[in-house]
Amino acid sequence: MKLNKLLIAFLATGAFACTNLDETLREDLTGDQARQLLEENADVSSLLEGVYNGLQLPFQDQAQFWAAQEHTTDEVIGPTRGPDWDDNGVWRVLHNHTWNADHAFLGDTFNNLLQLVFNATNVLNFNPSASQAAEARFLRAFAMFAVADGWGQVPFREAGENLLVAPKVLKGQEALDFIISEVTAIMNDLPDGPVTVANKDAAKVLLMKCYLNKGTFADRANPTFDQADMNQVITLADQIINSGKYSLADNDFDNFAPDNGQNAPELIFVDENKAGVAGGSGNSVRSRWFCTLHYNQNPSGWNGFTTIADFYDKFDPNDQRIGGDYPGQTDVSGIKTGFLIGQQFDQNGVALKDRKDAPLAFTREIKLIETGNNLEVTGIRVIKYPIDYNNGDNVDNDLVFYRLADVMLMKAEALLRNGNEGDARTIVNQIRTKRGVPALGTLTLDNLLDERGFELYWEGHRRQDLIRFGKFLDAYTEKPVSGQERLLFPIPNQALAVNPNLEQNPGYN
Amino acid sequence: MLNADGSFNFDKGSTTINPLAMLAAYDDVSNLTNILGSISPSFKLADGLEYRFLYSINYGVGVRRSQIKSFINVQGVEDRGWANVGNNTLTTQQFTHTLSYNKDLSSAVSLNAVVGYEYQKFDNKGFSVTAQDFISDEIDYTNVLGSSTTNNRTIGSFADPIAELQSYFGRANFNISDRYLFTATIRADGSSKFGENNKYGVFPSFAFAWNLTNEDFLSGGLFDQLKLRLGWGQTGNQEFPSGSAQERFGLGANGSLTQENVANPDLQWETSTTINAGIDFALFDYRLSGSVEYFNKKGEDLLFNFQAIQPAPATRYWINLPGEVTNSGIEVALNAFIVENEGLSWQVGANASFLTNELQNYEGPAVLTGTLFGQGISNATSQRLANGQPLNAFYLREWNGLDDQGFDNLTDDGNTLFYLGDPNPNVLLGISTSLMVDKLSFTLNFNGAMGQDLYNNTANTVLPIGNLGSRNIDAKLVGTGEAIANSIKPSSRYLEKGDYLKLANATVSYDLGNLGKVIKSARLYITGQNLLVFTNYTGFDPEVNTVNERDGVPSAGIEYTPYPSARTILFGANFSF
Repeated sequence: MKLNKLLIAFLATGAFACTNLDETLREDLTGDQARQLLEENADVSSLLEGVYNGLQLPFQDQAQFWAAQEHTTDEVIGPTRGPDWDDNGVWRVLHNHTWNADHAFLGDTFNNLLQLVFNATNVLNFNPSASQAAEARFLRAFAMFAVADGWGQVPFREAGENLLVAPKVLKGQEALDFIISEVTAIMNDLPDGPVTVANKDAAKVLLMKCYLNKGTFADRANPTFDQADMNQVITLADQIINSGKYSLADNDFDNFAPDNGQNAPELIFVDENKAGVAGGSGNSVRSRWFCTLHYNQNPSGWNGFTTIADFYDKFDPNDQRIGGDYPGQTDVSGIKTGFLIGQQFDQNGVALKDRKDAPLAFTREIKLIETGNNLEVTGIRVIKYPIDYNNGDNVDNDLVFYRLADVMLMKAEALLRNGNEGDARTIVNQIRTKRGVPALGTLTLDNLLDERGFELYWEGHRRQDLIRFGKFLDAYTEKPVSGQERLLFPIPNQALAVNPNLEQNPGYN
Repeated sequence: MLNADGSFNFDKGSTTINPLAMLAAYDDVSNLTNILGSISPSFKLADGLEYRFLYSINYGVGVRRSQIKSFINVQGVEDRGWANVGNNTLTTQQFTHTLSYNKDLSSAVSLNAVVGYEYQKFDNKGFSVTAQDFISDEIDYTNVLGSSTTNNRTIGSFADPIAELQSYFGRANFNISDRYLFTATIRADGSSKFGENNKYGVFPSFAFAWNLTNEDFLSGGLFDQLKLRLGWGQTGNQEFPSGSAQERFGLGANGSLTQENVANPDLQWETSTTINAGIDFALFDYRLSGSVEYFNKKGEDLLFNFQAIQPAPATRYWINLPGEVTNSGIEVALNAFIVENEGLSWQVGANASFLTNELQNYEGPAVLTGTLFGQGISNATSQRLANGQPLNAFYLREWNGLDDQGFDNLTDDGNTLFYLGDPNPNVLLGISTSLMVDKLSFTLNFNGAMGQDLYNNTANTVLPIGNLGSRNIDAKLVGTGEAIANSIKPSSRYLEKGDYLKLANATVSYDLGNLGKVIKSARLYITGQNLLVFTNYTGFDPEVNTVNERDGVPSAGIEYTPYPSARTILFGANFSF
């Protein structure tokens, strides 16, 4: 009897308890909890902050959008240096235009840009204020523009759609029309600033880019430039220029320095990095200097990417944009801004050596696969962003998306394409004078493209520019003439397999 | 290594690390505490009917403190110092109720039946703090984390969702005259990880055995034992991260909130269905025995981390993969007592499995895995899961030797990749033998595998020709004419045959018997483990286990700087009082 009592006690104390197996999350909110939090507080700023954090991986990392826009052009080459940087050929195929639909970084970029599109759309699902909704819709349009630019097709979901179902795809003109209508619709609801958030002028620059590239996106092999579209570009540029909020920086490199978001006079829209604070995932903008610096420089870099001499040789030797000493950098490490070529020194003027004890002297020559004894030191290195030595891994330099010089050059291009060479030349010469180079006597499409290169190198604009100017397929160092299919990236095979509404771009089957 | 004054010899700013200095600079101390407890009372309720209860708890805490001192020339640590303190707690609880019934239903038929309920709960959480910039190497950095620079601290903590498993099960064995044996089982397994509608999976199994030697027509014949076995059964798998079925919103940097996953409420149990048929036999007064068995195991609804359909909050999400993995083959085992006399006996046993595996009926894109490690091959993968291929088939550039200048000669200049190897063995072998001569006995155990290809990632990226002048290279490269500038790249050059046979252990023992009146059954022995390896594989150990997964997809057969397996020699004495 005693035993039976014990047994009953066991059963009664719940040792036999059955559970309904509900899953308890402990470090995340469930969908219902999140809805409650966001709707009760009637504030989706935390969700919007998540969208801004999502800019870092696709736009700041060296192996994403920047690689797609720059490695595929004459501004950047990622050579294999003996034991380093083979990486299964991912860098080489970008430069010589032999990538395929399984390319790891192109696939990741496509995914991460669309993840940003999702996160921005998701804000609209939680009753944002008018200005929050406008910010989210701007960031969505901004990411969609990058996808339309690269791949020509943009998968799109409305807020709240079932994520297990393949969404519709906006193709070609349809995608650009949507982006233009969105940006136009939200313009008045956007804040005036600061430059670290989606703002009215940022929306105007995005619209300018839409109109300037409209005829190119429609037919990349034979770009056209409708007069009305060019007039739109000019009108929008005038609104920005005449606002009086922006002026050309005295030193071009100030635009990229550690405190740029607060101080640089040219900036219109940036991805903010806060000193000492880890923002999103992926490498931050510090990868711009790490990817190019040699191991024996300070900081010890990854000894990777360089530019090619074809590009460097176009510069006037007096052009300030070619770089030089920079306070807070050269006095710390001896490293100059702009192009690093020839013998490198430390801050005390002592000549640096490479790992084989040979002089650390960067060469003009560069090959996709380096095989010589000097393979560590080949190629001209590029420092666009002055190095932040004060904030450890979480540097203060904001990533520059849009700035005044780009707006002025776009306006000049629109004027030139509409046949107004004189006014266009005046604008270009305004910039050239500021940068210390002689004024141009005549402005042509060729020297305008060169000017965009001088001003905007390594900022992530080059592929779009070369395509619009019809030069993307040309041969240059370590790149033969490439086929027309290269004007678009292939839809990643993995994406194609899960969304039947996507079609592989021509030439990639 | 050392300078004349006894200090470490290395150049500041150099990337060559002095290993002796690294040993002095690096401290990594882990303390693990485990507390185990269990109770298991049982009650006889009636004749043949017994109730048993089991409760057990396993509470484990690990605390890890590590530091790298600032004097070492490690990138990012030099002149700064680095420290990390972390803690991880895992609590596992289980309770089981079983009711078992044993009864002879008639003189010929007996029944043994069990029904039960089982519950398991897993609770995993932890935290970690990393800091940099310490001014004195005299004090262990982990004691003064607060003195680090604020911009270089990271704080992290986590708590996985509580994972719960709940199962109801039953088993019945019928034995008819020791000739026909039937077994049937059924389990309903529930897991908190699955979505609302698919928490439970039901997994039955049936087995039948016919003991032919108990039949009149075979009794007293050649066979001491002859048994035919047939079986069919299903089992379930729920190995995927908690929190994959429901929508999750995570807190992030700068006070942000972000939807983190593509919730898949349709996730359900992965099921393996096995068919097996075999014969067990024994001959010559049990001097020779063995078995032959055919098996075919088919995995369906495989739980898989798959490409999300963009735009989506994540790049991958968990699904039940529409495809099947088939493992099939034959297992043979033989055991013989060759000599069996007073004072001398010799036994030999061997078993071999012949198996194949393949992914079938899968129409999705090839899944990449086998991420390689080391400089020069960041993000490179070496394996694929693809329809019609064995799991983790190697997919690589084809290497055809070195060209005149000493550079790699690759098919199509390396622009095309091919399926060039299979990391899964076709044959698994085990051999054991023991010899007893009077009080002395010898035992040897071998194991081996054949037919698998291995990728030597260590040779690929740690010992390449480009190290000449700064670090070690693979001795095999001497005299090959390979150019020092030949780039590091993944290719079939580093695929090797992994066939091996190992002397896993050998024991010699001497039986002293009773010593005097106090010490009884005394025995002296010497055992060696991992004594001999017969293989042509050039890496550390053909039994490789480096984790080279990508996106949570497992890899197989890749070696990257593993710890070499230890060879141990043990001397021992056994006795009792």
